[in-house]
Amino acid sequence: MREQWGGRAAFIIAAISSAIGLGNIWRFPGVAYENGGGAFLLPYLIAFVTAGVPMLFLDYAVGHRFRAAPPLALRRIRRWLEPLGWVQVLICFVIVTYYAVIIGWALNYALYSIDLAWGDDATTFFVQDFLRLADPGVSIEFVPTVVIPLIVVWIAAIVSMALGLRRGLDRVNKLTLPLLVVLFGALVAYALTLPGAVDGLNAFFTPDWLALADPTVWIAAYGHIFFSFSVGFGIMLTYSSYLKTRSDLTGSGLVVAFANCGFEILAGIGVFTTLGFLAFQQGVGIGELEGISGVGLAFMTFPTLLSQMPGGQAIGVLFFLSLVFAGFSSLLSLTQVLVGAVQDRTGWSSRRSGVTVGIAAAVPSVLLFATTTGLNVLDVVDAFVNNIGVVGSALAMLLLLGLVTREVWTLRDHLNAVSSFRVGTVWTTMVRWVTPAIIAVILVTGAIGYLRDGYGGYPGWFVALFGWGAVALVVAAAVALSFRRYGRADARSFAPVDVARLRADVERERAQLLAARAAGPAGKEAAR
Amino acid sequence: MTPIAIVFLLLSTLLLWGGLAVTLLRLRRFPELGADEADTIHISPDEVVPPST
Repeated sequence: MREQWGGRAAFIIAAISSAIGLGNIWRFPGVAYENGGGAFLLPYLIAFVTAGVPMLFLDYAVGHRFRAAPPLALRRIRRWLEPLGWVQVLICFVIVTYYAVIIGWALNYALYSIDLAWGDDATTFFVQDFLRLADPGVSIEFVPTVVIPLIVVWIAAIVSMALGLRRGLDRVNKLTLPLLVVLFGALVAYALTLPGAVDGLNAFFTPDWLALADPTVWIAAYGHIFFSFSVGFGIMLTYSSYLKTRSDLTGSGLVVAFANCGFEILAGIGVFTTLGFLAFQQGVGIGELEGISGVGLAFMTFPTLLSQMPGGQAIGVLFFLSLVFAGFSSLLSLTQVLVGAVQDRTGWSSRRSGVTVGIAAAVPSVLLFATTTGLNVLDVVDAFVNNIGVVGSALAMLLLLGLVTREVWTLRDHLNAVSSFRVGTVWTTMVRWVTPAIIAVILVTGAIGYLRDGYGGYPGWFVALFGWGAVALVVAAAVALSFRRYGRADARSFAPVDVARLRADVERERAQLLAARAAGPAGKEAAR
Repeated sequence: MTPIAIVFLLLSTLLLWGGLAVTLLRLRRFPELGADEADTIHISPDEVVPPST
């Protein structure tokens, strides 16, 4: 049995919860500031329209039309597309192994915030006391402060996965998303009152027009939008496969897209007002601060300013719990891709699939990332799996569906048959030509950079093993998995719904419901 | 705040949060369909297909 979302709201909340992750809070503000401040808004919005939304609709269309997780959905289009589906599943597998670790750190830091345990030097505390970070290498020395919260995160994730789509994922999303908005909203409201907050806002929103002439700024904007929307590696595809047949795809997609980017602007305001306070306290300009994005922002810079801030304990709890909630719902969206693929392949129940997937991911998560070399491995794996794996997977999907199989025309008709917002030539042009061209540039420049310069100053063997090696392992395992038989779920016997019939059904039901709505309560009762 | 920063703050907030409000209102105009559909889809246990590659 394959579950479906309880309704449109459940799907939208789940998709927003997935899209709003750690990157919205700790990545976007830094990327925007480093790439032109207010002027970054222009490439950001253009990327939103030309790449983010079109790819989001493409993922929705594939999942909804072929009603499966990536391997089976793509196999139902063409059998030889199945390895690409497994690549997406395995990318999610790799990401969950380290994503859970960061949530565990945030959970610990929410507790540390109560007595500001990092003292006067948050950077030394994080690197030496908390992570006990060793030189790049392979260590089997586990760090208890990382292992314990990591196990807690995995137990919570496994329980949620085992409960299934409605009793697990749906309930978690409906709890974490409102909590995230309230907690982060309170943090932003407080941060706006701090001395220096205005300087932070000026730094964030003042445009540097010269930056618009720099191609790397545009690449950064497209790269960010692309990761922010969680498109191209199976999450949105899997989520839309659980929608009912006559669900509005593009109307819901636009809500998800605007909610995600709206939250990013809120995060930018929150982060930069607090950075403005830190700069004010230290008597320096915001441009002189270090660590304004990523792990450095969350676990070094932010704790530093919490120590100097009135009410720092409470704000610390708010901030780190926001990270926990944002991260946990995104973690579950990643694991749902794995659970969906396992269920499609084996026909197992959600409980059996969830427990199996959870244990299979938790073991490497602890072994690789809860040791004294965990941060180094995480840094390299994250960079390569995202910048090479996810980008390559999205590019392959666009090229194969847009230009090789030309399935994009059928997908356009499917979207238009069920949706309130119609897509046409602009969408097909974006999906077939514009977005792949931009993603190809991002992929090639990223790969050349890694080949020429290595990554992050790590030794070559370390980057080769955990960077290129992780990507190669994902591709090899994806091909190997495609050789195995499908035991239960069908590909050959599956017939996608006829678009003309679907459109007629949708129009008839919509007309009935609108007529009933116009007739008032009695009409609604009659329509039921 | 500087005037230009205020302009960009308002612009980004209005575009994105305003866009969210508009798309939500627009979505509400279209009734939710498929209330008669089952909550689960049954997958036949007998269908077996050969590997793809």
